[in-house]
Amino acid sequence: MSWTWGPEPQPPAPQGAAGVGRAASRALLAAVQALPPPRREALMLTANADVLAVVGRAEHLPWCEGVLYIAPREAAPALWLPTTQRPQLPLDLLQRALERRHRPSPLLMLREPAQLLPLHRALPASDELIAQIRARWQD
Amino acid sequence: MTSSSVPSSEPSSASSAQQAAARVRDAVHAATTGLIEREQLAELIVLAAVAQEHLLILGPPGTAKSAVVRRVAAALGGRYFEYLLGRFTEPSELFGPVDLRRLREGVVETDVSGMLPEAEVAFLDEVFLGSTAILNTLLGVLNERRFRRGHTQIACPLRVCVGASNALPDDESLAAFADRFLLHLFVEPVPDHQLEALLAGGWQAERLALSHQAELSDIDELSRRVPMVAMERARGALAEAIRKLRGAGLSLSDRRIVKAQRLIAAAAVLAGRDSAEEADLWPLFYVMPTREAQLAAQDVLRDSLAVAANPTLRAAVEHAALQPVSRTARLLEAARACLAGASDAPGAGVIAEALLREIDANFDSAGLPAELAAERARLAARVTAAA
Repeated sequence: MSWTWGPEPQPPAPQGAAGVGRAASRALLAAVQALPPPRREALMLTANADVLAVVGRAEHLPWCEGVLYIAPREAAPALWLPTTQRPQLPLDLLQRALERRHRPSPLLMLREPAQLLPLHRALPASDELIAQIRARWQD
Repeated sequence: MTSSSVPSSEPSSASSAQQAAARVRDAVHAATTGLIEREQLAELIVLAAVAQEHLLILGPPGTAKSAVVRRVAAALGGRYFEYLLGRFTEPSELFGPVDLRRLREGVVETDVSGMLPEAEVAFLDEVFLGSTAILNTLLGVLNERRFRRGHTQIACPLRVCVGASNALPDDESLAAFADRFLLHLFVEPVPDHQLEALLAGGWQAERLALSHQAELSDIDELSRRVPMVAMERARGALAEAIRKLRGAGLSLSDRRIVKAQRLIAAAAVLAGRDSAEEADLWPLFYVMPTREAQLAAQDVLRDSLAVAANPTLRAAVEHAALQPVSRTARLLEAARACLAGASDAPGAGVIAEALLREIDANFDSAGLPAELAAERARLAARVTAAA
């Protein structure tokens, strides 16, 4: 079955942010680290080699150049998407199809590069976690 | 002058209408400072007042309904009357007591001083709890702007009545009364992600003195222009929109369809024009009586609403049309206001960052309008420099 991404006609309020690509993920991690402690403590982080996902309420999220804001939609609460884009498919069916292939978990679905990032491993944005992510990235 | 419907000898009158619309816009802005997500309500009060119609707000208690109406009335400088109706509310509590001196003379007259018949802006909370006697008298006040009781018959200066209730009534007779409120607005509590802004704004709003930004004469000036609006261009589009709604099983009473024209004309006047066009059809969304009908209409009329715009009533348009044009305008205005202030003012950095977040959450780089992109770049430079 072929499908495409399209613009989100009614972007929801962000519930997270993603730095996608080497530069954006590093910039977002630096922006998280620079937040005042009460704001940073309200955020959760998870990462892979080139993506950093930050989950938290909109007013706690940092801004930096190139960041992508993300949120699930009402029809598919476990499927996180960029706020400005959505797959041109019924999202509830897409979520069910993804749940059949992957273990049930909130998943962040990205358009470019196409990938899925599980969000259930997100942990509070502590100094230790930030240091661990940096160490994994080996920057 | 773009229309033949307004005499060509009135250029100064057109600009005075535009100035009145600008003052009304300032009044709406002042009235909603510190109140989160309530601009739409304030703008609809103004639209209803200019169209000489009435607004019904439906939603849970505690959603700042009365605060907004009170603040709009104060910003417009009108005589304000507010009452929370209950099952046992007596007509005299709204309309005034019987005048005892006149009663001794054998005449039943009502002493209306300071009561609803003298109000210019009225807010009636839990309006459907009123008794039959109250609702019947209210019908006259709302429809004809005349108060009739016993020997008392007076013209009411009422510009707009805002009714509020938790839900639309099931009872048929009350549903007919609800139909007299041409605009229906469904309000929700402020969403989770704006709770901090709600708390900070509420704190600020309580301390802010209400300033007088416009005059009721501005509303009257705009109102006088409504019957002169050229409707030819909008009428075809309106008929087409009604056909689409009917095709989707969404019907409106003939009364609501005909009266919707007043709202469309008022929207054109508030946009500074003397002829209505397709961009002014958006009030039709608020004429749909139920929440389900409004949501369905949004979908059915997506194409017609795509061109909706109004510089004075941006939040109301944005909510109705779900399109980015007015969202762009609102973000542009907010960005310019932020950039006009000192970069080291308390909270300026947080506001700039919040705006950048909102811009980026609403537009990706390909869809970002050029004008907004320029302001975004200035905001980004400010935030980066402060970091």
